[in-house]
Amino acid sequence: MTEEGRRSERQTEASRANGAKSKGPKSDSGKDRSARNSKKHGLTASSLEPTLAEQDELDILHTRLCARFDCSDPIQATAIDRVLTATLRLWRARVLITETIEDVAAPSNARVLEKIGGRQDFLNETSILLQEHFGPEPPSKLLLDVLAKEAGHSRSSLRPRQSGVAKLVTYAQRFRGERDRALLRLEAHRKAQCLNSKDAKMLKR
Amino acid sequence: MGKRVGSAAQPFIVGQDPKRRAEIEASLFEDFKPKDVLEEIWLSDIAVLTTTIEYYRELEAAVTLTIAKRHQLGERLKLELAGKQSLSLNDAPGSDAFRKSLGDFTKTDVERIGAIAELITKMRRERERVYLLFERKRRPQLLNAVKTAEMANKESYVIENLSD
Repeated sequence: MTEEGRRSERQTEASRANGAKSKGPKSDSGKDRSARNSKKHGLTASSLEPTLAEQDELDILHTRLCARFDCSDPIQATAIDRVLTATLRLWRARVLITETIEDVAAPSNARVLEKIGGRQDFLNETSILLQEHFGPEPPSKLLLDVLAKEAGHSRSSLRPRQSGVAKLVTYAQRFRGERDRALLRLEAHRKAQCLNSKDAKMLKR
Repeated sequence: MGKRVGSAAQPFIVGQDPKRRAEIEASLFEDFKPKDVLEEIWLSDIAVLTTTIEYYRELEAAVTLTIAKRHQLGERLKLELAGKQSLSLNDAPGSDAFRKSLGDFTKTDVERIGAIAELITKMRRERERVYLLFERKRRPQLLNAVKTAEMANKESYVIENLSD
C-alpha cells in the first residue's frame, strides 16, 4: 500500500473506538427488536400473528376447507395453509389501503387523533421523568423526538401514506391471486382423486 | 354444514358499514346459492369488494368537498344561497359555488382525487376477476345441466355428471 493510501494513526484509533462502542444487539430480545427496525407494513413478514377476530374467521375458513378437502394429505394441507396465509395478508392489505384513504379524506379522524394522543401522552410522561432525573432544565425537543421514535411514536407514522397506496393495492392483488391459485390447485387435486377412485372402481368390476 | 365463510363479524374491515356488507352478501348467496366453500369465499369476496367500492366513492366525495372547502366553497355558498337559514355541505353538489370552487382546484388536488378514482377502478377490476373465477367454476355445471335437459329422452346416452 502507498503512503497516501495508508490510514492515519488517528483514523485507526477512531475505528477502534467506534468498534468498541457497539457491534449491534446481543440479547435475543434486542435482536428481535432490531429485526423489526425496517418494518413498514408487515404484509410480507415471514410470520403473521392474527388478531382474535381474524383468528375466528380463519378458524371457520379452515374448518370449511378441511370438510371439503383432505387435510391429512400433505399436498392439500400445504395448499390449505397457503389459502389461510394469503387470506390473512389480503385482509391486512385491504385494511391498510382503507385506513390510508380515510387519513387523506379526513386528516383529523379518530384513529389519527388517537395516535397523536398516544404520542403526546408519551412525550409528557417522558418529559416529567427526564425533569425528575436532570433537574428543572427541560429536556431538548430533539431528545424527546428521538425517544418517541424509539417507542414507535414517530412523526412519519402519523402522516397519510398516499404514495404507498399503489404498492398496497399491488400487494392485495398478489395475495388474492395466491389465495385463488391455491384454491384452484386444491380443487384440481380433489377432482383428480375422485377420477382415480372412479377408475379403481371400474377396474374392480 | 358448519358456519359459512364470511359469516363472522369482521371488525378488521375498517370504516365500512357491516350491515350493508351483510345485506349484499345475503342477496348474493340467495341469488347464486353457493354449492361449496370455494364459491362461498368468492361470493363473500365480491360482497366485501362491493362494499369497499361504495365506501371509497363516499371517501372520494369527502375528499372533493374537503378540498372545495379550502377553495372558499363555504363563502361562495353563503353568497349564492343568501336567503337560506341553515347551510350544510349537502347544498354544495349542483350549486354554482361548488362549480366555481372546482374550477380553482390545483393540479395536486386533482391528482389526489384521481388517485382514489384509480383505486376504485382497480377494485372493480379485482371484483370482476373474482366473479370470472366463480363463473368459470360454474360453467361446466351449467353446460351439463343443458346437456342433461337436451338428452333427457335419449336413455342410451350416458352423460357424465361434471358437477360434484
